[in-house]
Amino acid sequence: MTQHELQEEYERAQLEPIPNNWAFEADSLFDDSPEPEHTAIGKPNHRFDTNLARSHQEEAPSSRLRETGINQKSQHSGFAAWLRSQAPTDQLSLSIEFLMYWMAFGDERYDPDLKRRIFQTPNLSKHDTIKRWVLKEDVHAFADVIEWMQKNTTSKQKEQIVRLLMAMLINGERPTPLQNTLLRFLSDVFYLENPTLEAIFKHDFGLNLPAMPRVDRLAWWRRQPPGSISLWNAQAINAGDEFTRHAAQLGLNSNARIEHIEAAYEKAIARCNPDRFDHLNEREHQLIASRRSRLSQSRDELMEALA
Amino acid sequence: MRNYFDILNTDRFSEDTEKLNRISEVESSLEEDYFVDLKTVLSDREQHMHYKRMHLQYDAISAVLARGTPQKDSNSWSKRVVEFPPAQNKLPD
Repeated sequence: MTQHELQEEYERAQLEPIPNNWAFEADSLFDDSPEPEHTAIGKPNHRFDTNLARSHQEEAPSSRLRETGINQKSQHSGFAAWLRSQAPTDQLSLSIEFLMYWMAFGDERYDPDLKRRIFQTPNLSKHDTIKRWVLKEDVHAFADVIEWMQKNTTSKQKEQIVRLLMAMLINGERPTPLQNTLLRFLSDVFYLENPTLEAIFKHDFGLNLPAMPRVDRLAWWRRQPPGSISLWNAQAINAGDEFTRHAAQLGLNSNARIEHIEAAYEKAIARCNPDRFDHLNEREHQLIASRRSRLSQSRDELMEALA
Repeated sequence: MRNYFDILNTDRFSEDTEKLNRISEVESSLEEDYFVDLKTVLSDREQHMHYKRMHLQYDAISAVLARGTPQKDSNSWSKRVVEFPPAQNKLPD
């Protein structure tokens, strides 16, 4: 799923009113912040900022931070406080949205223009505010989300959040290295034991979850099946033709045949069964319904192309 | 995971060419296998891209662990992030 598609699905699922001057509004909510000038966006990553300043002048953090009012000395991300300021009924969905963007954007599944737009727009919707934290690569916001979910979700919800991330973001049968690593981490901080992550993956994908990725090792790269690596490159897939993009939705490459398409579609659609998310909110149900619709569209387009 | 960017005294936001230029500088200080992995992964555009993405995730995991967040440690996270100390994510005063 591309960033555009993910955004469309969020917008279909819930259109929030866009707050004016969100930074000021959020700023006043930072009652746990030791410094009154803190803003909602919180602490930038040290390495991110110092080096972007050198290498990407158009997004230089110093100017960007001035423009957005971000305080570089903030010791907290601010996401936790921002989340607490939202309606209690929205907090779970907003946390899930953060994780979904974290996982998707981590694999660079977003429009290259999104970053510029998000950092240059002063008044952001809730969804764009979350994207901003994610695009800033604010690891402390990520930690805030994990902490919030640990304290505020049930075991069943945690399991279903993991299933939702899998159903929404994994195309085909091989998670990207990032997806594999994050899912393993989530399963540990969520204490998934019955079923375990491995059992969920085996059930939902029909295969064993690949071993912990070691992208720092040449030996690991040599073990990867031919063809799988190209399916991890969302930017390249987006730049491809329509058939390639639809095939990628189902985890297939451009050589896909009819029998592959049907089999991949059946598995993917089964992962999107709404009964699997009965402890989540209506918003997540709308997301998963939208994913089902997109999968069906890709199946139909591929079948028509091959007919 | 190995923190190659730290070894190169750079970080994931530096230009790839800058990282590549520094590789030869660290060769003599690393074991051969380690150096081969570092050089191969960072020299391959696709592998470098995935390494950089994973680098962020390890920084994020490290930030979670630094809070003492309870977790099952079935994947030995504390050992995996040993080269990603959370102090790297902090800002100077």
